[in-house]
Amino acid sequence: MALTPSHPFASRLSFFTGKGGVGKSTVVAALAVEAQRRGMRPLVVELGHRASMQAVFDVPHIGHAPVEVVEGVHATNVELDRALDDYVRRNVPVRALGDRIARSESLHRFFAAAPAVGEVLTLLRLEQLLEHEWSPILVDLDATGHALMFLGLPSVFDGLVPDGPVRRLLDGFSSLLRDGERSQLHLVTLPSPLPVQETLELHATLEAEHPIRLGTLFVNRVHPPPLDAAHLAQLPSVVATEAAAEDLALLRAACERDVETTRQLARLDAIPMRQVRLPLDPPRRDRATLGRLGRLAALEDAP
Amino acid sequence: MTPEAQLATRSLIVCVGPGGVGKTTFAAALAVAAARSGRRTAVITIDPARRLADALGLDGLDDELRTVPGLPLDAAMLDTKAAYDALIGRIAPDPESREDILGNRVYQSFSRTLARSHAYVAMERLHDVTVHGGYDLVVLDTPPTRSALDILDAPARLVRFLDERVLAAFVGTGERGARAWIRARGTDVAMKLFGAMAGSALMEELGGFFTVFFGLRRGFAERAAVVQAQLAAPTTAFVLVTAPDATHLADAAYLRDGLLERGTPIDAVVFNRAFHAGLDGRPLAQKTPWPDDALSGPGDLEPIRRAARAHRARLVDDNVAFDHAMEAFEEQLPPKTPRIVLPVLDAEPATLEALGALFDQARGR
Repeated sequence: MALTPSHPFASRLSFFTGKGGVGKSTVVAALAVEAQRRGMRPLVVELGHRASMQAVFDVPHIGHAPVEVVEGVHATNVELDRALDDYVRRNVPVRALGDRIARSESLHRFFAAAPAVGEVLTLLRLEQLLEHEWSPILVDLDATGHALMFLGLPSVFDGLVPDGPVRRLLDGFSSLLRDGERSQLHLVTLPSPLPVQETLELHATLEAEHPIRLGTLFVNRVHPPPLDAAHLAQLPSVVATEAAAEDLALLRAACERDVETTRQLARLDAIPMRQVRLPLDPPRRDRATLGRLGRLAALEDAP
Repeated sequence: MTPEAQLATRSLIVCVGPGGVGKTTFAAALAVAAARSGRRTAVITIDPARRLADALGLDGLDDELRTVPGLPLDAAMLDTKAAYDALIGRIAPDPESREDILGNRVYQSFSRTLARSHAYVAMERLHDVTVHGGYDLVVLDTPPTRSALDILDAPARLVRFLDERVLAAFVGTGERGARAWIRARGTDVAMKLFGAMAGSALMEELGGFFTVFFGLRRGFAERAAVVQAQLAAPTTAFVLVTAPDATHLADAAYLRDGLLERGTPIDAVVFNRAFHAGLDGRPLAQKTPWPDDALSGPGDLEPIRRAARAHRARLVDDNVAFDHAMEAFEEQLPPKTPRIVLPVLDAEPATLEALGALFDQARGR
């Protein structure tokens, strides 16, 4: 069965971004679980300074080497020091020399301190992972500002790096980003005012400045309404005794909140992306929940 | 004394926590409470939320500290780019050095886009406000990511950044350009080879970037040391703010462990949106079911009865799950860490009054 082009399994490499706290990592993890169920070989990639996948999958450590976090699902953390070593060793033909450089304290100190060269190392690592048979590769990017910076790396270095291996790497990344068959960017958000605002702004920036194909917009925490629309009009005329007064008041408040949620969802509809709404339930995140969520997240016709 | 009153006796409060948990609102509410008790307070947020400025009665929040009408309270929002440029302006010895670095492409490309550079700026800003501001209390909000720990690491990393060996590899000690490269020995072979891989244009720009920073390092290192000492001082409190759901707790656990590993005590944990309150403001719990005739009105009431019962049951379920999650989280905290448990609110506090009243709604009040 052919997938919609904007489906997260339709390209080999998928990036995910969104405001902090919208449940981005959970969506990524759930999709990986679902990809495995469909017989694929998913790999979850998170960036070096983070550790949310350890918590999501409840495993003690996710490091440089891909590790199986649940059956058939692997995850890796881009550790910058290791990525640097790899890069040097692969690009310096003389082994002893490569080792010496890789061990160089100056170089490691430089990268620990220098502004942002870590992003280039992340690219190197991605390039390496693409050489293996992982598919899909699901990259959990940082919050939106950092994601934009990452996707904009090739232009950041424009003119600064005219040739050499770093230039080739950036050019490769550039063409990878431009190729919608191979890579796309998905957004994750919530139906509340601030995340919606940020998503609208992010989308406008992406459209204007970044050539990457936009995939699916995942909206978390979309629950069924507390009361069917058909009975909403009836609600104001209902009277409760003292015993039921609190529950009736709570229901009314919930219905009002639901109206607000609907308004925020309508704002998101202005974004011309395929949209998937998910009932990501805040307090729980076990394996069964991930599986259920993954099936929903990967449905062809979004619910 | 309530935990928030206890906190307000410190001179610096650093709020860390995952994004989307209401951390900025909490920081503002804490600052308002302290200011109301008569302490001269500054709150530095990172969230450009219009709503918070409105709630504080300000036209807007930007890099300049502004005074909240009617309170001994100043508020500012950290703007990385503006603060960074201002910093360079302040510490550059002459206009020429300043122009050199502001015009440097590496500086331009990285200083404002990099998540990490936020920590440097926050640190400098903190130094500025705590040393020169004359405040009794400074409340610092931190970026809504795991990189919040960079605030703690920034002074140390900054000192590493300014490590002479690294700088010398780029700019030599005093002499610039190719000669310094040629003079380089030992581990600097690595830097030279890296240079060959990265390309000479990038290396030249990096060299320029480091040359300027080399000249500025003394000021940086001194301030970094002051801030580092300040963060470790007993008058500083760290508050971990989170919401008790799986997504946020995972991030909060990372911060919790990171703080504890660094030997930074957590002076209070705040669970925001941590219970659904009933009409009396207390957490909703199981209650004797009400009979069908407790609701009256026109039409078929069964759908409404069902919805009202189901909704309450869901809220009570959530409360139970929140409690379990909070307990599990606290098991990994030092015993008796003060906690503030705040309710799920219909809307974020939108006025100074509402901000001030936030703590009245905490559980157990």
